[in-house]
Amino acid sequence: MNPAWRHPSFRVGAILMGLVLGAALLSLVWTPYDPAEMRIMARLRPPSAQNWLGTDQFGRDIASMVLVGARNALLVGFVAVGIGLVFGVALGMLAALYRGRLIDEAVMRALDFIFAFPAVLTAILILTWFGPGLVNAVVAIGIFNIPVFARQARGATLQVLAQDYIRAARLAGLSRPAVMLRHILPNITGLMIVQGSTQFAFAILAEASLSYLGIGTQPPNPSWGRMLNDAQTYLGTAPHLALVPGLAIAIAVLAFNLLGDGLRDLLDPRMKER
Amino acid sequence: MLALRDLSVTFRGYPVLRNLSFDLASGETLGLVGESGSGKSMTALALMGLLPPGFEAKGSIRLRGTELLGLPDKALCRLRGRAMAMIFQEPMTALNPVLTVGAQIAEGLVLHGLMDPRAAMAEAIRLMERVGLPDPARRARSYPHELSGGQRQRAMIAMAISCRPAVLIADEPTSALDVSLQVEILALLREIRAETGMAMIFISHDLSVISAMADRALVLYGGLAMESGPVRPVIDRPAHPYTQGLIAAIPRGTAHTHRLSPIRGQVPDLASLPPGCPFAGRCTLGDARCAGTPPPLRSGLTQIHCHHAEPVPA
Amino acid sequence: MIPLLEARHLHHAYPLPRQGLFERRRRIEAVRDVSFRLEEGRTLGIVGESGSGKSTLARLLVALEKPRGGEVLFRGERISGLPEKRIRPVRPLMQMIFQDPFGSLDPRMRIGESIAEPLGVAEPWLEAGERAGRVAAMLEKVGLQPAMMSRYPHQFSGGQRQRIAIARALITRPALLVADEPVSALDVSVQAQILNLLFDLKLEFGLSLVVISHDLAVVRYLCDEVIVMEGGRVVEQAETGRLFAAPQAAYTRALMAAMPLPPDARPGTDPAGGDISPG
Repeated sequence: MNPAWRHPSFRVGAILMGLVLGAALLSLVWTPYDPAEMRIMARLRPPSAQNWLGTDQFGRDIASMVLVGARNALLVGFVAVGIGLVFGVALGMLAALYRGRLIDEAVMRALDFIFAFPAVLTAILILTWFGPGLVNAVVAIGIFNIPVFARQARGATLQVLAQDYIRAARLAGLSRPAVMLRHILPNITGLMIVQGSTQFAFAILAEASLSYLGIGTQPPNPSWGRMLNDAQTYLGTAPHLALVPGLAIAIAVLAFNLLGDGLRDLLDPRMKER
Repeated sequence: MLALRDLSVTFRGYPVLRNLSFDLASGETLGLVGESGSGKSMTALALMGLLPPGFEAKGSIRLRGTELLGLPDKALCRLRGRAMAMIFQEPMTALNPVLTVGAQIAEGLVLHGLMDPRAAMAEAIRLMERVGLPDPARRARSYPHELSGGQRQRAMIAMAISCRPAVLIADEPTSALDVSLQVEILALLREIRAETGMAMIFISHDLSVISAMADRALVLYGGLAMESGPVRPVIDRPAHPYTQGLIAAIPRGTAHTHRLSPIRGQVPDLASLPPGCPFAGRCTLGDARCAGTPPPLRSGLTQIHCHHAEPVPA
Repeated sequence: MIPLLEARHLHHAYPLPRQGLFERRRRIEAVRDVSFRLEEGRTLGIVGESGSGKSTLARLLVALEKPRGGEVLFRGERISGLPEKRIRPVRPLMQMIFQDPFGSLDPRMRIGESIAEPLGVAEPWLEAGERAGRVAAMLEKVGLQPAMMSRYPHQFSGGQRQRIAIARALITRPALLVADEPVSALDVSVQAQILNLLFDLKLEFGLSLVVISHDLAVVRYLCDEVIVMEGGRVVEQAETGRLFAAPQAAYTRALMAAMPLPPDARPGTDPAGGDISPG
């Protein structure tokens, strides 16, 4: 049996992730209905044989919308976290390496500047500048992930830099980039993955807010976040409208957190071969 | 005054301490010698009733006739500090960084209902003077980070002796200090011991420190008492191969003329200890019987747990 | 004859953390005007208490840090204050081992990779098989089994890790090994093993050693000559025998008085034959 499979968090996370991924893939080839098709006669139906998860206020099939929404959620999560991770880790490591020097101060203060603005507010600014849409929203959210990862990466790098094995690597004659790639990156990866799983959740929720404001995913392209926000009005009469996308978001976020937890342990040689 | 009988500590089924027995009279000092994983710190924590979760103690610890094992936490709290107190290797982690040193020393006196806060603070200042902290009235208002390493260790000693405990447990109290400070702190502990007549359990990996402080020595290895007895014979005429090895491994002279004879092998971890003598794998006399059967106790000038070595006749 | 290593009027200071954004940075003087020469094959001890600047000095000697003043010469050539690129060719010849065997090995690297790392830079033309062979041979020299190559650091005890660190330091056959408190983090019964190993390897490899320690007994055991440091300054420098027989500086005498005697070395019966005054 694969040792990864024996890790309980990893296993549950992988199963849930498979579920979300499966839904996204399935939606590419098949959905019960066209998720954009409105049938005014069938508004706000509770779950039934025709509409497994009911219909919304425009008579759209919720099951179909959730399936297609999974695609958008994964896109938002992966790309936004990816942007933050790549740029954040690179900048954080750079700042740590030149700690206390001009480059450190410049990078970190610039990131503080981004961080000082409320994330969603600035995303709105960016989106009004570049025009609304899923891609621009993802980039805007990604930019906000950069300082989060950069701060963590800087702190973690400083901690690793203080270790004697870094001195030993320098004595071995390794160049700075080689030390970074061979010794520092592997030793901060675990922390970054855990941070990434948290930021994934943030990204999905941020996209929800932006879509609610009409500048994220554009209708008729469904988004879990907008479904949730749309459901607010009908919370009393049709609670399933909120429940279904809410549950979908919760499952995706949980999947990432558990996977992150599991990966952190599995990437650590101390956890195996005991 | 303090009597341990067959004290055993296990962690998830692994033995951490095996059938440890000793007596301690007031005014007497027992030196617990051991390397990492020998169980010396676990002994201290078991005595204080502070074993971390997952550790289980069996046997008997009697303090002035009262059985401590199995005593409810409330009763133990009343005893801690008053009957028994402890000083640690790292004073920085043992002191609370957000309270002034004076408040921390006075705290025990107030908690145990010995004094009101005002009198306790005055007593704290007196104690700080006693342990050699300069300008105690001002120092009492300092926070731990404002003191040097040696001063912190003195503050911790003041805290430990504030309620006049019957037994003071010192776990490597000087190992983190420079040698010159080490000497001062040891001298202070000797003075206080003479003044108060308290009993001491002095834990160290350093035989020279033990020989300077203890009346009797107990050498632990892998949770088992290898050798015990009056300190001079244990150190000058050890009978157990482990004690002999430890002493032979101390550098004296130069490598050209006085080559060391180290004990072979590594200090084993808990999970890989044999059921018999924990030292079996590294011992020059070790054989199959050693690893398989717990060694018998033999008495002479010192007491040893060994299948092969003969104790020096008393 | 040109000495292997020479320090000339070394100075070093560290900036203290800024008290406020606009405060001037203050510095703490760690090494002040240290000079010495180390001949090939000799062993130099540097003793002092914490804060005496001995670890900083160690890092200056192997060019891990650039001194703020003075220079370090290796076989007559200046290595201090050079850009890393120009020091790199000399790196294989001067190595170092550290106090904490738990921090000196990358926890995510198999020990074989760690040991081979300096070789990969010094002799990049070696084939994988040859490199593994060199690592295996080195592991045997430090008393470990070659099969342990594929294990991770956490699978070893402190003493074994120090052996691994020594293997890594010696794999490029250096001329100089700086050992910063090589045994003080180890159990008593294991310290003697490492001290003997260092001594044997020094003879076998024809190494020159710099041993940094707070423990006078360790320094006396390994070293031909000793430098005593206090507050970043050298207060005494002498042949080991002479230093222990007749310490000159007050600070040296204080250190010796405080030095714990071996438990069986009471006055008159000191087996070392040295004449340490009992503390």
